[in-house]
Amino acid sequence: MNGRVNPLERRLFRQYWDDGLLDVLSGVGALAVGLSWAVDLVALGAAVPAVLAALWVPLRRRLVEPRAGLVEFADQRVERNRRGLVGSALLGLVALAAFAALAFWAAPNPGGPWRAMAPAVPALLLALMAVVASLMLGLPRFVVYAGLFSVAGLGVAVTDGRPEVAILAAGLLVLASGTWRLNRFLRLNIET
Amino acid sequence: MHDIRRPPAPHVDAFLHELVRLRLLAFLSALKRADFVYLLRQTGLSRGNLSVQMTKLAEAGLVEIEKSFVGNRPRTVYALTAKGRDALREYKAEMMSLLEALPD
Repeated sequence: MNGRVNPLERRLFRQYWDDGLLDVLSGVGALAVGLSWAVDLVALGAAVPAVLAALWVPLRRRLVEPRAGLVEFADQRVERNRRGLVGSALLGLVALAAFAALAFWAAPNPGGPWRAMAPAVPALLLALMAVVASLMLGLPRFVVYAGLFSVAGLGVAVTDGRPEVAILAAGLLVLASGTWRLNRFLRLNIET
Repeated sequence: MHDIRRPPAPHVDAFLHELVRLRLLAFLSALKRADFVYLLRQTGLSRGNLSVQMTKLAEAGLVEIEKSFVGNRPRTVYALTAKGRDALREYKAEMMSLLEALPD
């Protein structure tokens, strides 16, 4: 009531994401990016966030709202989220530019350690996005997802594997976690 | 003779000082708006009790109600009014002054 985000609001906001739908879409998104990479249509992966954002509202209305109800958060929270999204997009671009600069700098030295890290870059970018999501939404499990993407990314870098393998492997685990969470939500909350 | 004058008793709004109503108002004060199902899930009240309490809060002007249909299903959405927010603020101040007088 005094302009600060109060603890009840913080709890309700965190709870809003607990149904698992976000996790499922994150897993599906990672798999889509990995598959687009696997079939050499990397540019298609750029469309994935837009497609997922378009799916969010109808899926939430169909699956979650009849069970958990409709809630809208205060303008202050919406504004914070908007700023967070813009900030994370900028952070992603900066990280991408940094990785690209690193790859360019490492190009003359194909055997060097930075060059060897190149296959890990896409998975590390997804890990960064997961950390940002965790901070913005107050969801510790997204730090675990970030860990999965990081480990998978470093794994393909060490084994000289292909980048999409890391994304597909970690994405599959995120999808499995989300499916379990969403299934539990649907089972425990009957439609009213 | 001792001075037997006592400080005036704090004016605590008895209508708000009811746990179920207070909880409902606290939820709504933290949100922009929420529908019946959401409040039902959050509070664990029965449908009947929730409906009665929300009607009372609306009649007191503390909450506004918006009824609509989603497909063929009715949806009732609630939001705290400015009067409700002021009443909560006043209630909190009165309760704080009362609680501060309690021994540690």
